[in-house]
Amino acid sequence: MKRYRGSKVQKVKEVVVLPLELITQILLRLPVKSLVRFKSVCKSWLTLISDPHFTKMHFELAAAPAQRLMLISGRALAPKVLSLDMNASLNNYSAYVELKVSCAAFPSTFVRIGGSCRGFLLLDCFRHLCLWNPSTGIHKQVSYSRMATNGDILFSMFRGFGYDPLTDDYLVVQLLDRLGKPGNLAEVFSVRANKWKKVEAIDMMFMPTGSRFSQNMCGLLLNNCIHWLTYCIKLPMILSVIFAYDLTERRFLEIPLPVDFDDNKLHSRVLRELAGFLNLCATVEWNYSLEIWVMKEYKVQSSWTKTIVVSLDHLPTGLFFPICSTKNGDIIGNDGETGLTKCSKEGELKENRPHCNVSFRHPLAVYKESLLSLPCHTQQAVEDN
Amino acid sequence: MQKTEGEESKAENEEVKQVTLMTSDGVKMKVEISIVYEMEIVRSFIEVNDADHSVPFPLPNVSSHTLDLIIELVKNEYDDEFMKTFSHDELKEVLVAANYLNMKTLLDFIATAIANLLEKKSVEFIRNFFNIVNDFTPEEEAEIRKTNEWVFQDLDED
Repeated sequence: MKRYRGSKVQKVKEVVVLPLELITQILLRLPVKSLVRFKSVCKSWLTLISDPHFTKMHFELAAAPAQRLMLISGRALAPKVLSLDMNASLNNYSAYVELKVSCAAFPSTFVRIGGSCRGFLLLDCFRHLCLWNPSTGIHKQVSYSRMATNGDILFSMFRGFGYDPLTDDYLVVQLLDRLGKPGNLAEVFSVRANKWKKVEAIDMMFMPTGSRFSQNMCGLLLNNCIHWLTYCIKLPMILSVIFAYDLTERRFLEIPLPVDFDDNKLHSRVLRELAGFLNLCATVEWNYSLEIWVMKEYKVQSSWTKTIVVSLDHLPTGLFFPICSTKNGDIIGNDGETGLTKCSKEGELKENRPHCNVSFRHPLAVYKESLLSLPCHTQQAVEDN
Repeated sequence: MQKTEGEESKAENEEVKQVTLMTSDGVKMKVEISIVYEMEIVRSFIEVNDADHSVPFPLPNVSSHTLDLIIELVKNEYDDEFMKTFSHDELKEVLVAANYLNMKTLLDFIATAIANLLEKKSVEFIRNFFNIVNDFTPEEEAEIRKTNEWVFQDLDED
């Protein structure tokens, strides 16, 4: 290849100064981690990188935003918050970072994660809720609703967090099942309106699924719907059920399970988003096999397909609980102890990293990196609601 | 202006349609029409005016050196290895020219290349690269850095 450099006498080098428009074009193509660092370049960059139009454009342009796993462990008064890059090798130690958390976002009590949406995590801090963007540190406190604190003994509490693109609003959804009282209660918190509102609940009798804070109680956001997998009582039977809250239509609905899904034989089952699809991961026999079902066409029962059967006896710990998928389709999961295992989409073992603080006993969630901030609540939004 | 081997061999079979461009340093360059058509600003002018291609089209904001780089990039179908030989100033000059000439593919390619170069760089490297003066007080800068310490880990050497 020819280079012409030096073929002409160059004039005295002028400094090339890029207009802000072109700097913006470069910054839009950088990952969140770089941009948060470049906030300290100068005042105009801080303003640009914090600008809501810029952050929104940046989020929408990112074809595959970096996905990270958030792990909260440590003692109650000293939470240790780890964030792992899910697209790096499990054995790449620089992919693990410890986040310093502000006391305002993170009270010194133990927290639980109730959902994940557009870079924000919903934290239950036991006295209030908090919406927190771990990439930027932006956070907003949300009061508990009166219904959730009025002294009723709750049978179950399903909570989730999502975004309604039609109103550009973030919503916290909760469904309460009160012990011994008929009818479920459902409420939605609108960030724009900055208040809770009662909505029509789904008519189902739920079975307790262990702890109020178990993994299935935390909703899974996908296709503008928040999903929960649980058991319900349809006398004389107890059945597995997926129900969802549609954030744009603002109503609850049921998502059908696979026709031949036999949950009597299962040891554990969990809903996950893998590669953009709704997946049902079920351990069929302990230490033996895990089945992954994918709903290829959303809401269509006949599209459920059993895609992978992972032979667990080939894995280091004999267990595998999927958490998320990577850019190239591998599946990362907990190894039943405190480590992580990565399997290919064919179910072959690729990597295992024991002892990295991952455990379903501790709060854990997958989030995307984003620079987004939350909309301010306006008088208009309050009136609309 | 120089002709590449490609142009010469094609010229044997049929005459490749060319447009003459006049750069900011007064150099007249004959450029294949397929390349010129990626420059929206020239293309729209030629299409509307059906201009006489022998009259040089003036590009007062693009130097002959930058235009050479652009032509090579387009000919080589945006070859990463070639682009890696560019100096920082050449990268910025090509970006400015791509924007002025309204070359969408090139603008995307070069902006992405610069972003990849800067991804793991320190704040000091960025200020040097863009000739930016730090207008924060040391206290203000320390405060901004303190809130997000994790982003300062795992950087390239400057």
